Amino acid sequence: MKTVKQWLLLSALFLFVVPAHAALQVFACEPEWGALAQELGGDRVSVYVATNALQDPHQVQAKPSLLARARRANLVVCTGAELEIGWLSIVLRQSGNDAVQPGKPGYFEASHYVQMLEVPTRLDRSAGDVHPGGNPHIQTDPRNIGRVATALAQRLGEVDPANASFYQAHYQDFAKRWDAAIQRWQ
Amino acid sequence: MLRKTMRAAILAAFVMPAAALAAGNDPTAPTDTGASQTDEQRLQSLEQRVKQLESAPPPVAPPSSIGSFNPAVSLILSGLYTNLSQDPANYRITGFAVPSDTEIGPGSRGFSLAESELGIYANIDPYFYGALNYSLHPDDTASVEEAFIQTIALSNGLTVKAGRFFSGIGYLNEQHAHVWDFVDAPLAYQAFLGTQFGDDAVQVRWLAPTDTFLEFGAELGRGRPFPGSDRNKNGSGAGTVFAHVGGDVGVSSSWRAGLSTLQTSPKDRTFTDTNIAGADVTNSFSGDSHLWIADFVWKYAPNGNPIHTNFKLQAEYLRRRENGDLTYDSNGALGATNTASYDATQSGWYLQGVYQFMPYWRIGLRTERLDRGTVDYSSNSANLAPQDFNPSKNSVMVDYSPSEFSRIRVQFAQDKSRQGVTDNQAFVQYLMSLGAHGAHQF
Repeated sequence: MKTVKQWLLLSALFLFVVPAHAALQVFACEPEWGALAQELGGDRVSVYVATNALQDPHQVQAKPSLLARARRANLVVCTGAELEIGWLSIVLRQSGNDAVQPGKPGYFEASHYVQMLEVPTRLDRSAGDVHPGGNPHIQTDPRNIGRVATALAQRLGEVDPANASFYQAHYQDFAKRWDAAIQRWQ
Repeated sequence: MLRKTMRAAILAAFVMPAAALAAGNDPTAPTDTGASQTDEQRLQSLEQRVKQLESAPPPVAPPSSIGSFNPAVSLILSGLYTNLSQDPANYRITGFAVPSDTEIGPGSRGFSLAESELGIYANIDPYFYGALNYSLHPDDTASVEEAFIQTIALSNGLTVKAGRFFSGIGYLNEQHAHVWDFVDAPLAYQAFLGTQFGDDAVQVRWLAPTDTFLEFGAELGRGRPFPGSDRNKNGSGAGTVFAHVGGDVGVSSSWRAGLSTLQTSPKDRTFTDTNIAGADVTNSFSGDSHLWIADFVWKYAPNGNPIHTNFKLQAEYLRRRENGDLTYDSNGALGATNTASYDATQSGWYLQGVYQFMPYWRIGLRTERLDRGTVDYSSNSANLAPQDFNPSKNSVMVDYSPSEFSRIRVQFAQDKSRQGVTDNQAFVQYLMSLGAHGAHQF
């Protein structure tokens, strides 16, 4: 009887204590969004980056480590426009985490907040793996980063209202530095 | 109201010609010569507003997706040319009898369609996902391979699935034929699962909140497909439990290991076997069937980038114990019907490696073996005896994938499933997918 109780207690600990993290868990599909989330979230977020810069973010499989991380995420930050079509939908569906499903505040698609280029008028795979939403490589225009930052800071505040003003303050700071950098680059 | 319309019109008049001007100066455009002081002010304020609008983020235009509202549709087309040195009509795995309606073996000789598959899937609403996989067979029949719904709105790592689907046991069982690395399923899958176990069932999965992937699942089902048999009863006829663990090692390697069990209670499961005299006889089995599977897969790609080269190592071990009653000559064709207790423990494994040595090209090797194990026929041993033979097979394949959506494969195999007979097999296969983008399952 005593062992059963101990087991139950242990299971309860396992279930409820382990997922309780102070920082907001951010699952970033690409390093760019991971860096941006870290910049805006500071020490209030814990960022996991699903792919590295040497990978093609399209050619990724729904591997076990991604499932494990998506399951605990509070916010998923991805490019969208079908860049992650091969794996993200399975990862999210199998994550058992309703907070980050498409349509929920915990799911953030950067391509929603910028003007998409090269939106194809003709969809035919004879042209290769065309993306109906347009060219997903939006991070190559620094002005886009600024636009995504605006939306992401707002979303961070929505998902984690207790720290909303913190994210806004960090955003103001980031936006200032980013604008200055763009001036320099131009 | 009128003022609002006016303002909108003026604004439009300022914004729209900007585009026209960019294309070329319009000579007919009116030029305002007598601009009064108030016009000047209004112009300035409008210019300011245009500037503001320009600096603001552009309006959100949601990227259109393949199936804005319609479900995603995908079609797999596959065809085969098969060359077999032995007659496939006599195909059997010696010592591992399966019901006659279970499709095992290398298929038919010559040109044939392989399994073509139509898939339709989408999120049903914020709570459920639904999918149908309709399989079109070369003999002009079709079957529902999978048709299930799955929850997407549960939290705490829980997912529930219901309908007909490939069970989560093992590694290969859940994968559709078109993503296999070889033309055919391993012998162990053919002998113990009739190629693949897909049942009408309910599945619950729980993903643990740990950094290391840890997943548990259980299913309760009808238990109709082999190794079960259809029964007219309430409740369930099959149950499975499985656990998976996995993760990454550095950035270049990922792995998954699993342990699963499938329990079924077949009743009057009828199959053709060979008796001591060498004659075909129809037997039937009723009792309990327990199958255990241990699986492991390891994938390597330099820096996690599989485009140039990558390697995949995969192995599974299956072990089955069946105990109950075996009825010899169950249809009375030989006039020697006899029921006696039966207890058999048999096993099998395969090991395969697939290496992409340059972009688009892969080579794969598979070796496999079944162990006849111990079979106790009790009083039926007067007519039945386990053969002193362990089936084995070796395969090599090369495939070429010019894009993510097409693959052409050549495979050679030396199949020693039948006692005393070697079947040299050669296959040429194409696999193409059109429509919605396929998923990259691990």
